[in-house]
Amino acid sequence: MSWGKIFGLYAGAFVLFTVLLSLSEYWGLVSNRGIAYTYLVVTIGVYALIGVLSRTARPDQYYVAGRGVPAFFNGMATGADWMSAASFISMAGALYATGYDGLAYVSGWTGGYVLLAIYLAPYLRKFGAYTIPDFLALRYGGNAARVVGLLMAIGASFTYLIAQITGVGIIMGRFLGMDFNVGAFVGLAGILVCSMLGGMRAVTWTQVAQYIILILAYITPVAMLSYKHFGIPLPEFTYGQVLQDITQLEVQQGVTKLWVDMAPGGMLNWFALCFCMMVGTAGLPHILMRYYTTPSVKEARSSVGWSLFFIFLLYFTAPSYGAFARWTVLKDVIGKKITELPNWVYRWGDTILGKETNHLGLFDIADKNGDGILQLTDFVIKSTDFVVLATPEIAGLPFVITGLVMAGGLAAALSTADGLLLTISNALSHDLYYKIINPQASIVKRLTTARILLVVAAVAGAYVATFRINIIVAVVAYAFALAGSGFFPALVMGIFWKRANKQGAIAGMAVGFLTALILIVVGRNWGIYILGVKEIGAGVFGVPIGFLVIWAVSLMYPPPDQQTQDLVEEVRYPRGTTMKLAGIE
Amino acid sequence: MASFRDIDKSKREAYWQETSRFTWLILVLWFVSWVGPLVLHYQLNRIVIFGFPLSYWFAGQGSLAIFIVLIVWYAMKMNALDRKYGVAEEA
Repeated sequence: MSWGKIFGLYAGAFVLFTVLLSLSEYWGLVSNRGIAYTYLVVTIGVYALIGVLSRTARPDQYYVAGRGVPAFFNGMATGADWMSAASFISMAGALYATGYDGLAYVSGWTGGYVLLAIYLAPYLRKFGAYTIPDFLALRYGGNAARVVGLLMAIGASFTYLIAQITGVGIIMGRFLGMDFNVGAFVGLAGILVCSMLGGMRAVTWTQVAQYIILILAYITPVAMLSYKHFGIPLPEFTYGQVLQDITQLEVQQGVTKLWVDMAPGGMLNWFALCFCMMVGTAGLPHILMRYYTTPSVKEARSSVGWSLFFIFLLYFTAPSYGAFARWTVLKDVIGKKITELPNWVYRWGDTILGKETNHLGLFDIADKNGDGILQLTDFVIKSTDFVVLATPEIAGLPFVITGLVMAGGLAAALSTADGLLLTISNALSHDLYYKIINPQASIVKRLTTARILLVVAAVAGAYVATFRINIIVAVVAYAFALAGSGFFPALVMGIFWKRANKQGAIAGMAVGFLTALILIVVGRNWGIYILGVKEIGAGVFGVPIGFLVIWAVSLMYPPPDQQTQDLVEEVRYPRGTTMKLAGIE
Repeated sequence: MASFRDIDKSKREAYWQETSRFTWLILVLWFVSWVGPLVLHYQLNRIVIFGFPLSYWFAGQGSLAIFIVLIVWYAMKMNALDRKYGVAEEA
C-alpha cells in the first residue's frame, strides 16, 4: 500500500472517529472529560504505534530517515515540525490582541521558507550530511566550527523544547484538569515513544500523522463559525466582512487605533520583527535537517514548496480566527447587558461578574462601574489563548470539537518537541560523541548512545519545564534572532562563497550571535534600543553583521584548501555525489 | 566516483551564472512582496477589496501566497536549468 493511501485512510478513520464520538456525546453516552481523555489516549496511542513500527537499527535511518522521505510527506512533516504550541494555540490570540501589528509573525514565519528554498535546502541535501554541525565542520575544516554549531544548535533547540513541554502541560491542565507537572511528564512519555526507537524515521511519519490532526482541528471550528454567519465554510475569504464590522464597532466604541491599522510609528519594528522571524526560520537546525531526508536535490526543492503549502493552510487561516473572535467580543459581549452574556464566557472565563467559575487563567468579566452594561475595559484578558480554545463553543459546536482542538494543540506541541529533541540528541550523539569523543565507536554503540542521550535530554527538558520559568516564552522568540544571526550567514556564505574560510566563519558566527545576544540583554533589561528596534528584532542587526564579519575576516586569512573548494563547487550541481568527497559513509 | 569535473567547465559556469541571477531575482521579489505592502501601509489600507483593507490582507494572506508561488517557480525553473546544462541527477 502506498503512503498516500495509508495516510488517506488514517485521515478518514480519524474523521469517522470524531463523528462517532460526537454521536456518543449527543446521546449522552460520554462526559466532556471522557471525550478529552478519549482523544488523549487514542491520538498518543496512534503516535506510539507509528513510533514502534518505525524502529530501526541503521544509522542512516535513525539520523536522516534513510533519505527516503518523498517531497510531499517531508513537507507535511516539516509543517508539523514547524508549527508549535505557539502557532496553534497562541498566534490567533496574538492577532486578536494586536491586529495588523501581529501579522509580522504571520508573514515572518512563512517568508523564511523562500530563503530556505533558494539558499539552503537543495544545497544541504546535495551535501548530504547528518546534522547542521556536520556541514559546518566539513565546510569550515574541523571541530572548532562543529563545536560552535553544536552549542548554538543545542542552545536554540533546548529553550524551544522547554516551551513545547510547557505547552503540553498547560493544555493537559486546561482540558483534563491535570496537574501541570503530571501533564508535562505525560507529554514527555508521548514524545519519547515517537522518537526513541526509530529516530528521524519514526519522527517523520509520526509528524505526518500529527499534521493531519492539527490541521483538521485548527480549521474545523472557524470554518463552522464562518458557515454559521455567511453560509460558506471558508473563513479565509469571508472574514473581509468581519473586518468591516470590527472597524465600524470600534469607531462606535471610540477606539482610536483601529485594529486593521499599524501602531503609529511601528513600521521599523514591524520590519525588524518580520525579518528576524524569516531569517531565524531559515537558521533553525530542526527545520534545516528535515531537508537531509529527501531522496534527491530535486525533491528537496519541491519539498520546501510542500512545506510552505502545509504551513500556509494554518497561517492563512489564523487571521480569520483573530478577526472572528474580536468581532464576537465586540458584538456579543461589549455593550451588552450583564444578564445577556453568551454561554462561552462562563465556560472559559475565570471570575465572571464576581463569581469564580474556573481557574484557567484566560479572562475575567466585571461590571466595574455597575451600570449593568459591559464596557471594553470590563473584559479583562489574562491570556489571549481563549481565542482558539473558545471558538468551537462560539460557533455553537458540540464539545467533541473542543476535544479535537485539544488533540490538535497536543499534536502541534508534541511534533515540534520531537523534532527538537532529535536535533539535540543527534548533536550530542553524532557530533559530540561520535565525531569528537569516540570516532571508533561501533554502529550499535552509536545508536545506543543516541537513544540514551535522547531520554536524558527529554527528561532534562521536562524537569526544567516544571519550574515554569516565565522567561522561557520570551526566550523562544529570541531564539529566532539568535539562530538567524548565528547560523544563517555561515551557512549561506559556506555554500555561495568559496573564499569563506574557517576563521571567517567562526568569527562571523560568534560575532553575529553575540551582537543579537547583547542587544537582547540590554534591550530587555535596560530598555536600550538601537534606532528604536525592540530586542525581539535584534537579528536585523545581527544578521548583516554576521555576513560582514565572515567576509572581512575570511579575507584576512588564506583561502580554504583545494578539497574544501571542490566541495563547495560540487554542492552547486545536483548531479553526482558529495558524500564520499566529504568523507561521510 | 562521480565528480563535478565530469561536467564540461563552460557548462558549469553558465549554469552557475544563470542560477545566481535567478536566485537574486527571487530574493528581490521576495523582499518586495512583504516590504512593499508594509511601506505603503497607509495608502494600501485605504483600498478595501471584498472587505479587506489591502495592506492588512497582504500581511496576513497575500504575501504568503506570493511566497508559495516564488518557491514553486524556483523549483520548476531550477529543474529545467539542471536539464538544460546537463547537471540533473541521474534518475
